[in-house]
This record gives sequence, structure tokens and C-alpha cells, in this order.
Amino acid sequence: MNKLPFETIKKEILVRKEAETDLSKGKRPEDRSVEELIKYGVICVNKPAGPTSHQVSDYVKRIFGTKKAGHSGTLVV
Amino acid sequence: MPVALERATRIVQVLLKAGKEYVCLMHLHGDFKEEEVRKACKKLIGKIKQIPPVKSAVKRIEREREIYYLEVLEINGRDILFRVGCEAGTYIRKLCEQIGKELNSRAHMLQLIRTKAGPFNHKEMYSLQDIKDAYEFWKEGDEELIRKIVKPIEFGVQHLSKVYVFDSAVDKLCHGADLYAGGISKIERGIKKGDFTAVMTLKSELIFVGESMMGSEEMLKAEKGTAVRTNKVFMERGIY
Repeated sequence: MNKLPFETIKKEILVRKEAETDLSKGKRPEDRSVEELIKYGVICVNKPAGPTSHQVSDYVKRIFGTKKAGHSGTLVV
Repeated sequence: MPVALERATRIVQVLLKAGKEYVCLMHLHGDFKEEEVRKACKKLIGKIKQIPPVKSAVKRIEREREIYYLEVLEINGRDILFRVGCEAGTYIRKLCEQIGKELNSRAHMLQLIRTKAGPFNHKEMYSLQDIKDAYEFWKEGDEELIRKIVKPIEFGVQHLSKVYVFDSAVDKLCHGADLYAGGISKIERGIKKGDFTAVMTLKSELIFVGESMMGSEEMLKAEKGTAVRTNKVFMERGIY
């Protein structure tokens, strides 16, 4: 199938110096609460025909009651 | 269309620099055999040169962009439907003109939709109604749908190379400091100087996105010096 370069690259990790991480600080993305997910979240919206991208992202903002929301691009994705 | 919330808002600027995929409808100004059209399209795969259009925000000098793939989906007389994967900043309207030129003729773009922007693709999208429902379900105690719809910000940097830093370096980076080589624990292979790079904690949380000042190998060996220059900070201060 057709793939963009990053979709085909195998990621290999080079270790400069191994280290532990303090589990009392921060959180793995999969361990976040829904509130935390929303605070650092992205959504892929199926933009309806009619309203502008700005209006759609504004609507999403209102659903979540967040202060900020930004959109990328005016086309389909 | 990716919509980013709150602290993630600036991620949309990172996506501007990500590879894109489009489906484009092009109209040829002449009649050509199917093989001729396919051959002309194939010729544009790889590095191509483009001059930005008259109406554009950037300086009009010739620039190079890469076409990763270009697949003809349908041919209907003079109308050609194709799918193209390309580097950020490729002008598809120009690409159509270039295909026309390849046929010793002309061509123009009729319609364009974007089907990928970096890690975002058209396959997993939600309607505004889905999003509203997910929010209401969550308020009633069911998290399943909202967890599926709202992706962590890290989803949006899948296309970038990554550098992982020690806990002790994290808060300085949240305050806007550049990343020094000494703060690095792990590096993904293949980073080149000048690449847009995501700087992560050892728990795989995104701290900031910036421009690498060293390649992977150099980061591995260097004791000092700036490894990644900060550009957009996402993580809040005071977490680490």
C-alpha cells in the first residue's frame, strides 16, 4: 500500500545512558484520566460540509467546555 | 480534520510540516492513451522542482519537493483521479500542471481532498454528533467512547523522530530551555541535523518539539552542546 516515509521507517533506539523514571511524577499517555486526555488531546473530526473549519473547531471547543482549540487545514482530514 | 484541545493546540503547527496525502481530480487539455497518462504520472514520483504560485505566502523561487507515491485511480476521458503522497509544501495545483507538461500539453486541477496529514488519516474520523455523544456518555460514567475519540497529544507526533530525556532535565525543558546532550537517555536512530524532533520523557510523554542540532550518532557521543533547539513546548511546568 501507499505509505508516507514515517509509516515505513522501523524505529530503532540507541541508548546513551539507561535511567529509571520516577513513577510519582508525570504519567504514561495510556494512564491518563479522561480530563487529562482532554487537556492534552487531539481529535480527528469528520468536517461537515457547510460550516468553516474554524466554526467546527469552535463547536468542538464548546462540547468540551475548553478554552482553546485549534484546527489544522481546511480540507478533508 | 484534526482538532487539538487546550495544551495540545499548537500541535497543528507541527502538522503543517508533516507529509500529506491527497486525492486529486485533474483535467487534461487533450486526449491521451491510458498508458501515456500513467507513464507521465509515474515520471513525477521522486524529487521534483516547483515554483510557488503567484498567489502564495512564500518567496517565489524554485524549490524541491518529494513525491513519495502517485497512483492513478480512475481515468474518465480527460478527467484523471489520482492519489498522491508528498512532502509538506508540495503544490498539487502545480503538480497537475507538471503532469500536463510531461504530456506536452496542459492540465489543471478540478478538485482536491486531503486524506492524510502526518499521522492523521481519513479512516478514523468522528462526526460532531459522535463527539457530543462521547462527552455525554462520559458525564454519565461511561468512558469507553471518549477514550477512543480523544487521542493523547503523543499521537500527533508519531511521524517525528524522538529523543528521550532524564527526569532531571524535564522541568528545565518545560520552562523553554534547549535540550543539551547531557540530558539525553535514549535516541531514535536516523535523526539528521535540522530534523524536526519530538523530545519525550522516559514515560513517553511529549515535552517539546524542536529542531535537532545534531544527528543521532552525535547525540549518542556528545558530552555537551545543544542537541535539540526548543520550538514549541507542550508539557506544563512543575510536573517533574
